[in-house]
Amino acid sequence: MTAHALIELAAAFSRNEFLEYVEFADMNYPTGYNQMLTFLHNMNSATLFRLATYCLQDKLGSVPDHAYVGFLNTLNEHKDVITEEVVKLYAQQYKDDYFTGLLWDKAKSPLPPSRK
Amino acid sequence: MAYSQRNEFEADSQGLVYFQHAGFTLDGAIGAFGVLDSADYLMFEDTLDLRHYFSFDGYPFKSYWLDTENSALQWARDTTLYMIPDSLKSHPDCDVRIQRIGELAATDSEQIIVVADEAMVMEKLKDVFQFESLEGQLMARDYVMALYMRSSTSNPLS
Repeated sequence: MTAHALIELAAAFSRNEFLEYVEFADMNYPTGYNQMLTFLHNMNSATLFRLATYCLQDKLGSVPDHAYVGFLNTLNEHKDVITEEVVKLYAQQYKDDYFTGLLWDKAKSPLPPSRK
Repeated sequence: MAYSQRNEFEADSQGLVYFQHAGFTLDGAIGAFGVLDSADYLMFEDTLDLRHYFSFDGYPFKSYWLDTENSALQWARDTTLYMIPDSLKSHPDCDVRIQRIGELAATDSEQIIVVADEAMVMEKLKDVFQFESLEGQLMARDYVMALYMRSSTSNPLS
């Protein structure tokens, strides 16, 4: 889930939508949350993708052929630019309707509507 | 508020009678107040150990990742602002309630039901709920909250 969030934020950065997902620190927020916001504001898309890659290797590298791990690897490898071919390849390999559906959504709408 | 708190003590003593007649142990009642008490604390208040969490063999943590220069505001927080005086609470503090029910409890109460591994079951449930909550944050595309919650917990599932 950490890798998933990092990949999505990296992709949002690439689409110039980072600030729609990551607000600025605020003295009314808990200290830990402000730390996280500060940390993210010191990132760029490349560092976020790189962190996601290491996170995937470190925490999930030993998990064989899991549909979610495959989904995350697909997102990370294709930097959120998902084409029909990519989805078909995933569907063929993992045969998981849920994650295939999520990839189809990304393939149909590479620039998802703003969260706000 | 004092009137409300008196009512709560009365309710506790009545509840304790029902509780014991149902065959539960006093420890269970005290444990329940302990759980209630823990809910008063913010789960994710503590400082995060991001240096540990985002450091990998081939990609160690960079100290400038925590520089506050890019933050719009300096965010030192005065936690005393969030403390509520006891006189303004509708319910008495849990430690006071635990003490009261301890005094009220009959020493010869029957102890019929003892739930084994209660704490372990609770920990497992906590893990499952945290996992579900994280999944919900991801689905809602609140990725910052998902990262924050994930780095604040020790749940190996997520």
